[in-house]
Amino acid sequence: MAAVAGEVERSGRALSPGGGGRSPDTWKRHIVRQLQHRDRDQHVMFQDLIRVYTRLLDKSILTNGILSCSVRRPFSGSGSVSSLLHQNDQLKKTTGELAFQVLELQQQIKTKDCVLEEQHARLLEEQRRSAVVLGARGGLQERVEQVQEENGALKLQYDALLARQRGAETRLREEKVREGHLLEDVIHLKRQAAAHMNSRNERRSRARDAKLQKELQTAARSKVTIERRFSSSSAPTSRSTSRSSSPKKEKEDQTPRHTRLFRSASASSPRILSSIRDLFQRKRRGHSVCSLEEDLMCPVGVCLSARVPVRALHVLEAHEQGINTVRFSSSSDLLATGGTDRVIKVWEVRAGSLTHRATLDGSTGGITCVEFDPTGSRVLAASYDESALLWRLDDSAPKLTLTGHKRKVTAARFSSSLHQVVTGSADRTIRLWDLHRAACVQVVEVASYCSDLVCSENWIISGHFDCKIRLWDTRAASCVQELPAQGKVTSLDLGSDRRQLLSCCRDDCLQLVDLRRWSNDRVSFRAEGFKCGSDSTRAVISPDGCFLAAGSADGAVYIWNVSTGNLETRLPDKHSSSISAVSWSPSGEYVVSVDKSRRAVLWSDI
Amino acid sequence: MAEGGLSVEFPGSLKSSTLPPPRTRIFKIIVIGDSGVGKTCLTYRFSAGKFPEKTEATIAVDFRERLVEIDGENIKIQLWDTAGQERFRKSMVQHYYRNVHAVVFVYDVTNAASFRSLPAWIEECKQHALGTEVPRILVGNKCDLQDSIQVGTDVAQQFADAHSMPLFETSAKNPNGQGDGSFGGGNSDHVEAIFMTVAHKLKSQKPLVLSQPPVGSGGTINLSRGMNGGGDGARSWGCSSC
Repeated sequence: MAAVAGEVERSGRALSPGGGGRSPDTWKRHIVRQLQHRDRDQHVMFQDLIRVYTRLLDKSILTNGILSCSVRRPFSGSGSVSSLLHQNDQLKKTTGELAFQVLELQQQIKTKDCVLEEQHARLLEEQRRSAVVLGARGGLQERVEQVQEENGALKLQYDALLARQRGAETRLREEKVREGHLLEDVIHLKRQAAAHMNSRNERRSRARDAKLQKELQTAARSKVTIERRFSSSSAPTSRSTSRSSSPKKEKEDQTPRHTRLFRSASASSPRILSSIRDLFQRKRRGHSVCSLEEDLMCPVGVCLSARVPVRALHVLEAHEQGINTVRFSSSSDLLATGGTDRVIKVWEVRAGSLTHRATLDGSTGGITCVEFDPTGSRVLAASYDESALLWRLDDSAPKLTLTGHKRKVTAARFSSSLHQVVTGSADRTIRLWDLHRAACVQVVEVASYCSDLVCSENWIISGHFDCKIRLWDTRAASCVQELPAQGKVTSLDLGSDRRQLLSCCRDDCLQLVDLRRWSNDRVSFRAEGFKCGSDSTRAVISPDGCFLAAGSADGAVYIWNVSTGNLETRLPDKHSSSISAVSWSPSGEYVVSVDKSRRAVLWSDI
Repeated sequence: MAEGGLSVEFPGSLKSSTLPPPRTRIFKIIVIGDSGVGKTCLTYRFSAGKFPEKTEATIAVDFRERLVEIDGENIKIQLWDTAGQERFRKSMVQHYYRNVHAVVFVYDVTNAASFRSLPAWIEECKQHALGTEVPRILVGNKCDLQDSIQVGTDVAQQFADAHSMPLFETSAKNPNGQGDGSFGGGNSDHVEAIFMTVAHKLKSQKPLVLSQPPVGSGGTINLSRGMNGGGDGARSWGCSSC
């Protein structure tokens, strides 16, 4: 500082000589200029120094300020150094404290930084996690949608199931109702069964009772029984009326019984009369045809002489449509005709005329064949409706319908054992039926259309469209023998002695075979004009075996004599169309012929 | 011949073909009791000699018959296996009790309820069968199920005594194993023995009651005599078996 001041002093001296020279102004101006130049040069050099100095000055002023204020209090005067020292110490301490604070603060900054970093890290972490979670959320949302879809599907299924369940419940209800009805029915039936069982028990016990009492009575009245010859037969009828069993009533009971017996007899006298008449009739019949006491299974008719008819006694339109078949009963007083109009008419033959007695309906097809059973109480018929039917004469509805054939039944005959029936059919079978069971017991397959058959004891003889007559053993169900014919066989008939077999063929020829010698002895019968009118034209042997009768297509009945082999007579003019069947009464008296135009003619010799 | 034809006419309607010869007597025995006590099994056991494989609820009534020979006489025992469930027996009851010769009450020894309802059955029987002259017996069934017995023999015996009925305990399933009822157990088939006892009793006591003429006929003496005999027989029988 002092150096600067010296310089300035020197420059000021130098300047003053220069200005006093030549002229006071020029040299002064030169000196000034020199001095200004020197100043300018040296000023730059000292500029820094001045600046530093001022700064130092400033600082020292500041320091003095700081120091004075700190020194002034403890000592005002003498111990300034110590106070300065002290101050220095203080300052140092302060500085240390400040430094410590700085350090602390720095420390804190560091921690905060750490925390910040940590939080950054966490933030990142969180962000990452949130990204992951977002992803998961997306997945979950997808799943939600999926599940909702599934739920929708399940709901549909559920609805369907619900509907099904409702349906099932409805059905269940219906079934319950049905079950209820069925139960009602079952209980109803069971009630009937129980009532039936009860009534059966009662009936049985009553029957026992009655029997016991009857025994008691007969035992008690054995003497009386001996006296009266009718009592044994009257006992069953009066059984129901004789209830009382009290022995003391016995006596007074006898007289009423007696009168009652009479009364009942008079009341039912028509019945009794008719039964007596029946008895007589049967007796008479027994002489002519078969006796009741003999075995009914094979009635052996004996007709001493058949009378050759000569004229028509009765001509009538018997059916609505063509008549296919006619047959006398074994007692000769009944005649059955069957026609295409599906009914069988039963006629009574009396005093040379036919009286309509009954109509048997029930067949749904035309009747092809009709036959009485040997007792005359049942009628068997074969029908176009593939069945055979059985009637009792007192009932117009069929009692039995034998079904099983596949085509029309052409012939139905009682077999020699009366509970069996044999039928032949266009379906090429012969069937054996049990009437007790109403069932077919045997089916015999044959080679050809069976047009007619007849039964003997253990034989069935059938005629066929393949021009064969076959003999079957019913026990073995096998064909025993075959006999050739000249044409399609239309009918067969067996003589009453079961020895002669008559066959009628489409070659307009009747053939008589002796069954004892079978094929060796055949006699043929022909006649000029005789023409077999249809596939079912039926010819017969007279009951005495001496004549043959057949109807022709020209409407005449031809009768041959067996012993001579010649035509005995020809009965023309009564029929206007082809005759389908004839029947000779077993008594030999009558011949009936029927034709396709509804007409039946009763012929006789009277 | 005509008869043969008739039987063709009604092939399956009546069991007329199975009718025994008229000399055979029929004993109608009804079996009564709660649903499920084994009435069907008991009757089946007696009629067929074996335990049925499976049974279903009887509807209304089933009939079982068996021909037995007692003292050289053929007798048909006609068991009426009645329905236990009320809905299956409505409107059948009068048929059950009509001309019945004996009543068998059945309860299930493993089912106390079936025992408790016996008085109701007895009451029904009294209403329909007119008092006590019809022999009645009490049968406890299923006594092969020893572990689940709910009705003790003592209780049942007291009840039977009170109603003057003989008591039998048996099992339709296994009648040989448990013959320890009031009846001797040495028989080969206990169920059969029970019914045969009834049949013997009926045969010995009712030669005339069986042929009861219908009401209104003149046979009053017969009837009353038979009933007296029957009543005595039932009483003495009931006591003797106690």
